[in-house]
Amino acid sequence: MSPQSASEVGLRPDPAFLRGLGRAFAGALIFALPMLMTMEMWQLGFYMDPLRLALLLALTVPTLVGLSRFGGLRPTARLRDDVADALVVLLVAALAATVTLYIFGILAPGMSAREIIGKIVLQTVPGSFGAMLARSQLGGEPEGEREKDPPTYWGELFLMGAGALFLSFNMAPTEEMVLIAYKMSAWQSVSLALVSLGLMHAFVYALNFKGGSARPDHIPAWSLFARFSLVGYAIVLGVSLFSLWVFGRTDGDSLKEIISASIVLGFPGAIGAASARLLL
Amino acid sequence: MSRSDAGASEGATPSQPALESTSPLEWVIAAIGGLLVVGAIAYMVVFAVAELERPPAVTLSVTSVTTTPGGYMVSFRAANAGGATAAALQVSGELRKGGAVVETSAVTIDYLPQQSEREGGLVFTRDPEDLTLSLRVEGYSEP
Repeated sequence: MSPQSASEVGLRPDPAFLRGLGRAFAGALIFALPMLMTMEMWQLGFYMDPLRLALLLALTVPTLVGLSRFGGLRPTARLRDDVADALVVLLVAALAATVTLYIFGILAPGMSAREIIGKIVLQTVPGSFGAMLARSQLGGEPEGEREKDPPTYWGELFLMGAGALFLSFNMAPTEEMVLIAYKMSAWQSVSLALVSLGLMHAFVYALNFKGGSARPDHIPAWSLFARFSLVGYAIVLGVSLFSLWVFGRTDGDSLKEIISASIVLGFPGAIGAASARLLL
Repeated sequence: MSRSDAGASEGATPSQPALESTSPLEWVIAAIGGLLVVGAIAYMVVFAVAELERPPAVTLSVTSVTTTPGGYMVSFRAANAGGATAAALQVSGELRKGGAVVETSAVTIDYLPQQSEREGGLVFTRDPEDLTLSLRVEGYSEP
């Protein structure tokens, strides 16, 4: 249990780094398992538009770098360390996805490279999120020591977006999002949007629990609502729309259905965004 | 975005620096990860450019005929040489004697991805050995 020697240099594995890898692997599994065991995710791996899949993977890298700034595997000194962590985490997540999918028999002989690569890449995205957050979720050093600068306003918005993605990624691939949207009337959609917005506001800024932002007395409530909850919900809807689009769930649908489905997916997204400071 | 040395000033013990730099081993692993990411993106883009708008092209081949308690099981392999996935692929088989159809059987394959193979089976009550067996794809939907 002795602390690692900081002078360790070279290719010799540093025990702290290996522990970090193990935690990242566990985090990838914990977060990605629901998706690794979801049929739609296997099928999307081969039938989703390859350009959208490429875009999703490309956008994952800067998102992971951003998450690494605010939490991540370890307290990082410079941006290039965050980039290194993001790439390590992607490799760990790809490995976790490959092993799990192979054991499940989802990867098998007779499948094309396109099918196998697609399935692994799609699972790597949520897995890498889980791996990056493993440190904040599974604990590393005591909280006090890794506490960083409180995020700026833009950092706060980024975290909300990441939190929305974190929660909505679980549900975006399923048929149910679109099905629920079909079943809801326009009034029910409006109600759901208002409920999401209200919950979001209540979650962090009114309840003010651990990790939530304390409401400074000199800032009026309407200003907080407009600058955080309203802008945050707009980000949530944007993230929902993007997730639905990436998975091809908006293709050929009417504008009304697309908005409705975004609101449906925005419900878990809003919870994710509001609790981002707690989760991430 | 400036990063102050939060935590390093007071609480941290000297043996546990609050800010860690990246070890060579981690850089090696990061480089492999980076190569994989770039490779996967490049593969998907190339695939998209090369295979765009190429519909599924399915060929069926009989792999075996076995006798089962439920009848004669004709196992087949469906291979999709096209650039898109076929969903709800309908495969039917006919047994003919002379010109007349004596028995038909059908099965649906949920998904047949591009460039991939899936296996299935059709069951007949008559022995295909004595008759003419033909398999064909009836249709599919886009996923």
